[in-house]
Amino acid sequence: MSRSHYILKRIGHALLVMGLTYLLVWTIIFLMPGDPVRNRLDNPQNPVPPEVAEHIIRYYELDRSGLEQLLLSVTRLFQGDLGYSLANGIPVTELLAQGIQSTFLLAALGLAATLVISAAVALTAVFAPWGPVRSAAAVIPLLSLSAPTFLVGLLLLQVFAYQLGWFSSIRDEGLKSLLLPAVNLGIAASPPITRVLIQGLSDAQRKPFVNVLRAKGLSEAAVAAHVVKNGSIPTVTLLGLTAGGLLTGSVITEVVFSRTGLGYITDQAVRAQDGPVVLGVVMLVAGIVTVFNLLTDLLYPAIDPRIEIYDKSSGRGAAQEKTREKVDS
Amino acid sequence: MSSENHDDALVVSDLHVSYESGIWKTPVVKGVSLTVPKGQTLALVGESGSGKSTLAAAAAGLLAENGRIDSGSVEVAGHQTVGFTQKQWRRLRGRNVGFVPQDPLGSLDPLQRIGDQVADAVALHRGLGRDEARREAVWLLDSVGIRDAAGRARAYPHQLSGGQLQRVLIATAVAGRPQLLIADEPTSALDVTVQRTILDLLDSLKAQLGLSILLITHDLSVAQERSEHTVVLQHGEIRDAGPTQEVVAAPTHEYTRQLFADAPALNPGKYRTASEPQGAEDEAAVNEAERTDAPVISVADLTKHYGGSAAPALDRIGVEVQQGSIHALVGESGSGKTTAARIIAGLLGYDSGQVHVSGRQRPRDPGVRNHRPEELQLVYQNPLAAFDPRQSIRAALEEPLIIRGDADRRQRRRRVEELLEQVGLDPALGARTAGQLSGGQRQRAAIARALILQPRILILDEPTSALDVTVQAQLIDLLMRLRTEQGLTYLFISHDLSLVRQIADEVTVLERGQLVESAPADRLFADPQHPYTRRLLESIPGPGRITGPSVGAGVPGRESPSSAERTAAALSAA
Repeated sequence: MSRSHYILKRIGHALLVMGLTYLLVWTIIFLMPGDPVRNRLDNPQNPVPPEVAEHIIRYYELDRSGLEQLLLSVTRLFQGDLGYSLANGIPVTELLAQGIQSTFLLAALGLAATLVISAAVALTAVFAPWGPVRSAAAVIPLLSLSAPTFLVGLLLLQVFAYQLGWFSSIRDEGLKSLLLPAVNLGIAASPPITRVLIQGLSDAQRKPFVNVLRAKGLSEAAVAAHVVKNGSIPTVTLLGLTAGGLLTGSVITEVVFSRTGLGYITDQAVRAQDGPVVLGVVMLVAGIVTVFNLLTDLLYPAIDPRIEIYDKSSGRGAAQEKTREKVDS
Repeated sequence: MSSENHDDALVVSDLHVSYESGIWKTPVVKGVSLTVPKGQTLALVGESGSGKSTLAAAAAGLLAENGRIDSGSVEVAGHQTVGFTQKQWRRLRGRNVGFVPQDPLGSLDPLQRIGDQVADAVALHRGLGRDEARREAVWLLDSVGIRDAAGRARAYPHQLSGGQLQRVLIATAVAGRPQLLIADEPTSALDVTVQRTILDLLDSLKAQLGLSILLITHDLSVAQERSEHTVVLQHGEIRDAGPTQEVVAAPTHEYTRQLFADAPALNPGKYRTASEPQGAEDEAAVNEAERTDAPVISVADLTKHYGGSAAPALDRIGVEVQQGSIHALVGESGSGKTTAARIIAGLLGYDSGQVHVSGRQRPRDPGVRNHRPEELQLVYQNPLAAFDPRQSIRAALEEPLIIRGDADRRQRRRRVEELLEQVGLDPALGARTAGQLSGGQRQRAAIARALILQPRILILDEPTSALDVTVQAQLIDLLMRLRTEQGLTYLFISHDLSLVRQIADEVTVLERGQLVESAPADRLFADPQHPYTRRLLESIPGPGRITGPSVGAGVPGRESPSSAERTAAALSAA
């Protein structure tokens, strides 16, 4: 398999996932009892002016069959048109664009916090020179896993915003006001990564090559560098998944810290049965997660030379070669 | 602490080492003293658990974290090392003492190019710059017999064979020109023919560089062939020690004699001399009574490709196994012997040819279910992997009976206990899982499981290659006894020719999927026809080669004399 073939195949997979996701979500929203558009139009407390209602019915072709509506929405999707929010009539693309900026910043900082926390805890748990410190560090992921996100968030606010007064709990202070939510996200997202990293590092530490590196006369720091490189490979997949998850799973954090990001928008849209917005959010999320997965897949062979996705000379994949060796030994 | 005119590379005196776990303390090395003189090899021989690897680790400063030197001294090149910190050890490592590990495949960082791994050691010990160290590394790789060293230096460890990796590790170990090399079973993970070239390489480096070698091995024949001094260790205590010739000629301790008796290479006629003279008549009687003319396993023109691979794994192989005989299938890894065994066992499909077992043709594509389990059973190389880790041995043995439909639970249990006793296991051990048994016990349990349905044929896929000589000898004794008692036929897969020589009636030699020779064992060992067979036979270590022609002669077949001399000149110059 050539390299470009491999990449194309991966991208094909990604597109297929996107397509199926769209179909699934669209069907669920379409089949949901109580048509959100109709509900909105017929709401007696908040009547829609007749000419607007006319416009909405024409736009969504609510008088047509389901299949026709699906085809229409797919066509519009390719034109970059995700429809309009039923709650306030703002184009979905515009809403998402508003939300994603805030969420993206938060997620990026959250990922950084996740990395720092995971690495610090795992390195302590594996390399600390004193046994009790190692054991204590190894318990941390369990603790942070059992603490609910909202609780940790409130605790952070209580300590750093109310008692110490370092941050404002409501005012938007730019990047500064992102720090607490990011730490909150980091604490929530780090346990699985930390666990896998600890496992990977201790496995790598027990490999015979570590003894050989020592016997060579390398310093402990140099030996540790080899261990870290080998032991962190399994975390890459998890990191890819987490990055996607952080962008999309920040609902609770955003609500606690009163930020109007994607999480907030999703929260509002689901409450209001705002179908087009929900669909738009889900597609954005699916897109992001798929892209991160694709990146991990493409990154792996670059990190680990043992994973050969393509073989220029004989056209034989590494997986096959491995089975052969095993069977023949 | 001066090491200037010290004559001994390693002096261990009255060393006690133990492992701590919690409050428990297990002594592993109990008062061992030994000396490795300059420029000589001392072989440390013993079974697994004898403490030999612990002693090697203590001498290299590589004891596991829970390992403690309780008392005694370890002098490496004149430095008293007991109580050394990692930092103090670092000054000795590479420069004074080099370490060659047991498992070459796991002993190199899989993410770093091999040239760089050697270059790291070169740069560290000779204070060279990056580029210079790389050039030096390539040249070192060349001198340990890596072909196309400049190209291979850019390869990652997974792209090299076990033998090549061991050469890389040896190059790394000698890069800092140490006086002492500690080699912990450097060849036990390698094929026989490769084993020999690696030992030859160590010998030639020893001669060129005046290296002293502490050679850890469980194989007495290797010690006999390669060392000036031998120390025999059991349960952490010295059983025998002295010049190798003397230990071999007149072992003083019972255990040493036992080791000699158990080493197949040193006792080629063990099972023959005992059985043949008086057994000849019995055998003839058995022949008439039981042996039919048709072989129980008959393979013809067997060909098998693995998907995507151009070269066939098996290329028109023909084998016939007579009832009641031991037929050995011999070859190195990659020869196709295991593939053949799996096809005959009906676990794997094949492309073309005929495979008959007990007169029935094996289908080209094997079904999922084995319909005739009482016909043939397979015993695997690694019994730990072949048992369900959560199932007790008793349950594992009982399962085939349940599948067969034996309804009486008490009777099933009785049969299991009977069989455990037959293979020499205490029936009480049946309650344990495979992980709670020793290697030898596990393989006995595996044999018991294979025999529970009373099959006529056993395929034994390297059943003893993971065991040390003493346990291996016990297991082979068991297999030979079971064969006479139950009239079994064995297809015995092995790379160990000295073992095959002891037990096999017929031998078939495979090389890269080709059949190179097939003959009765006595004829094959007395008069091998094919050059590959001859090469395999030469790789059997043993007393005949003690005067070894290889010392100082460079690496046979690999290294040109000129590059060997270059190594000598360059490495001893500094």
